[in-house]
Amino acid sequence: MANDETTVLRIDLASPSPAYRQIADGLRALLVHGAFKPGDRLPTVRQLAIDLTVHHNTVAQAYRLLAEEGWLDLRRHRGATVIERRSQRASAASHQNFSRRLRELTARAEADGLDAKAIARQLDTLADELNLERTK
Amino acid sequence: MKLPDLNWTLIFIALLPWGSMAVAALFTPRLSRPDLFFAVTVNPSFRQSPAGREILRRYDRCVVIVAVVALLLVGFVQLGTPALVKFGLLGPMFLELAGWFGAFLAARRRAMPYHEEPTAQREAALRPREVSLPGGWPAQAGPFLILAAVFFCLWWRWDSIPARIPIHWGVGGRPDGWASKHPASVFGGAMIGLLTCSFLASLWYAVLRGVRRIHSSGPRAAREARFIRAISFFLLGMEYWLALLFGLLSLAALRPNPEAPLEAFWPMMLGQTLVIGAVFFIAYRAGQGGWRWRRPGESEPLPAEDAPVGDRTPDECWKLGVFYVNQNDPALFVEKRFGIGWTLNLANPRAWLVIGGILLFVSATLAISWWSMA
Repeated sequence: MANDETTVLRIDLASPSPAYRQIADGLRALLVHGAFKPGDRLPTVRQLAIDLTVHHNTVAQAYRLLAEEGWLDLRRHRGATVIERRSQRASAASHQNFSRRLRELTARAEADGLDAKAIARQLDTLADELNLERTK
Repeated sequence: MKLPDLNWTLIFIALLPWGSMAVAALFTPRLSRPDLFFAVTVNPSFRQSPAGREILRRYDRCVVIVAVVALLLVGFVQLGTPALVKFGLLGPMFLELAGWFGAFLAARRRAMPYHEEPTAQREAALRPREVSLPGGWPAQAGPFLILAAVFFCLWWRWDSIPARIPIHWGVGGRPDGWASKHPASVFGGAMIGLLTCSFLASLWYAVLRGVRRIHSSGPRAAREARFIRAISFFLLGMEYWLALLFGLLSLAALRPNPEAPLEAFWPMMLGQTLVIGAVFFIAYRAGQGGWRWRRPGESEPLPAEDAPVGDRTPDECWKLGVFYVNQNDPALFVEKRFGIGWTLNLANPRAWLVIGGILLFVSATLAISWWSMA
């Protein structure tokens, strides 16, 4: 498992985004970046709900979403276990969906006051990180 | 002028809780997390502001006045009849407790206008929590083995136990309560010790499983973990101490001269004083949730947040500043806002099971005591 700094999940209860989506998005980002290896166990639904001060169902919903995506194996009383996930072949719809969401996100960032250069810099950094991961 | 003939041992026994309560009342507001002031979420710098200092000063003044009145009452009771001396010491204790709570409520009311909305950010460590008691099962079994040895010893030497045995000791360790030889009177003390140790261990296990970690990363999380570890060790030590205490008192039935004062009385009083001292030391060193527990070389002050972090609970769910009732919070145990340790979320149905367990423990202890005496 990765070190403490990378295995902390943060959410914002004041955010308009639902808590279950923030949990799923945050966990997915960590899973994609290899913060966990297959066989690692995540906290139980109950423990994560207590620490994040959200309802159990909120965490359970996030875990189910990730299980459906093939990231987690959920077993009763054993919590969630990270599993080996086969790399997916992206469909045309996935490409379109990603492009649309990225545009929405950059538009939102611009609306929040970030200038185009700052956004481009972030995207460049992200691209560098992705290339670095690919060459590993 | 002849000084009144006072019972100094009783005065010592009376002054121990009186002094402990007075010191605790003065220290408690200073041990709360920096962004919680009399159970109200405030800016961490508020405590040092003129308004914050004034609230604290008025609280201190009130606590000192009540403590002095209680002390005078302790002295007054000493001059009374033996019956008043025996039972009248509870009055000053209740007065002190009520005065302390009143001072707290008044300070809380004054702090409320300075309330700040705590951060909505939440964080959690993504690893399964290890719920382990210190020393593992071998260390945890120790107090139970001590009491089991006491049971065995009493059973083995049943024939040497006299027909009349002491079951209560007064000041100076002189026996002042007697019972005839019966399994309830002989094994009652060890049974109460067994119940108390089981109760402490299971309650602490439940707290470890059900408590929320306020911080999950950085030095604050490290301090919190240190605090929980210290409490774990203290409670384990407490179990050993209680097992020894109840074990020794039970073995008093085997003494050749049961009328003689208990030799272990003063060591027991010393031990009890040390236990209280340890509570104060941990509380002062750590502060609530361990926020004061800085190791050499650890960065200070800790990184500032945009908004007060508090204890991740909303102010409006704290009734009278001490009772937490929040249906939307899945936690069973939450940090106390005033004091050290944890309290129950009364909106959680399992909290009532815990309260039921506590009541059951108290009733069982009283029943055993009553049965021993009967």
